[in-house]
Amino acid sequence: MPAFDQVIAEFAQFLGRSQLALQATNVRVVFSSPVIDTPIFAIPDVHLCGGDAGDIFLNGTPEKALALAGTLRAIYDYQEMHPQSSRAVQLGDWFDIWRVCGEDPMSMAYGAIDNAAAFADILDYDARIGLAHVIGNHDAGFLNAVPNRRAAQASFFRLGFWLGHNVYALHGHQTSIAPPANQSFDQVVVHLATLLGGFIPGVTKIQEFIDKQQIVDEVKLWLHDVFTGSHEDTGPHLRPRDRSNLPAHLKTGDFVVREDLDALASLVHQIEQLPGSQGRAADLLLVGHSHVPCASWSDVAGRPLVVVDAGAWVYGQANIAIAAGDTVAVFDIV
Amino acid sequence: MHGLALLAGVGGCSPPRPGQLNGRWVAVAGPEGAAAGIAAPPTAARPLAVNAPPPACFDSATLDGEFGARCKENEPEAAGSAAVTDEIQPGNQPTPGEVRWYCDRRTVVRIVLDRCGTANQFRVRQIAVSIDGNR
Repeated sequence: MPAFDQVIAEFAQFLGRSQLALQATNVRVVFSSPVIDTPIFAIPDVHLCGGDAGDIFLNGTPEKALALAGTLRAIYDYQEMHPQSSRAVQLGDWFDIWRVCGEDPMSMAYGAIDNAAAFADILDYDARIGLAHVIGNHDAGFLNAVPNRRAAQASFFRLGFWLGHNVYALHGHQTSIAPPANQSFDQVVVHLATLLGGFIPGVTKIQEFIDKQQIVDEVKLWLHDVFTGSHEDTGPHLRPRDRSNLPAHLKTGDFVVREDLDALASLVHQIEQLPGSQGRAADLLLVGHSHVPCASWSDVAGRPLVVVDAGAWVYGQANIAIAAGDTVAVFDIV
Repeated sequence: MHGLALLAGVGGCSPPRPGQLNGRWVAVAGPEGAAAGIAAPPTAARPLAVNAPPPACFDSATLDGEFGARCKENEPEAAGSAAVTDEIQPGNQPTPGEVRWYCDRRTVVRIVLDRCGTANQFRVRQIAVSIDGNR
């Protein structure tokens, strides 16, 4: 199990090949003992648009594409240096189909993103890594069609992934949409997790699958909204500092109370119960969606779960979350 | 026997291109078999020969240079999954092969590529061409 500092030092060397560097943020959580046996590199919301003036990723600065390509190259190089010994994930909203295709996140006509010359190197490294992508609310069209270059790897695009036995990755938008009236969040979360466990891609579309579920209409509408609706991201939040006593397995961390924290923890707990999870139980949940990095923890599911929001690559941001050994932290790429 | 030669290059539309296949990427098919490669000069109404395979391994830019603009949209190849319980495998998992779609007003070309090892280069596995009439 490589130590966190060792992973950071090596990764920083690879970043240096592209004249990039890691700069610490205040999001850093240290567990009381090593819990992350395989290093993890997590790229948060990128929002690739058409490479034009309205592109919130490029933000009018072509250097941004160089920075992301250089970061992906560093992940590729690290994983070449240490074969089969680390994992890479992108936490959703890789493409901003919602913005490019007339506010239809389920559209498949996102060639303007796939073909943008500014993104050629980024998409090259995406394919060379075989980067796994969580599907977010701005790229829900991946549930209909994944990018052409990744068509042989459609299973690398999912609504959630395990990264080892105790780390889970989710975009985070599933819990930012209010459940229907008279339905507790726990109730709808069971529907959500059960539905996700039974959906077979390629056999039917998610919309049709939801329609066939034996659940009340309000919950169907909610599920439709979760998976196929147009949602702007939740934006910055006033996150109160969490001054509660840390559980025994956490050593240090600058914790806040993230919005939807307990709902996210409940959802992960439900996913743990699915047979396909094979007994895995999360100590760490990596999410994006809000664009604002932070660390939180919740024991609402009976077991402390650290939730790290990895930030984003929109406008002036360029974040990456790295986890290894006893530590998970969010960095700025500069 | 008569062979069918399809000009695979998708060029600009104005002014009209002269009919020339020699030296260009082509897909040929007929009773004598099918091949993709670089066309030999057309000769005496005989089936067109492919006198060289496509370059053994080339990068994406080379392909775009031969075939022009990629399609702004194309029919879907594969859907992502709503499953939530699978695990990401460690290490680099490069795409074993990829697909490219090229379109102009009358022509659609779909090219299936195999990756050359783990390099960022590819070789052609299949070229499929459709040419509309006077649409």
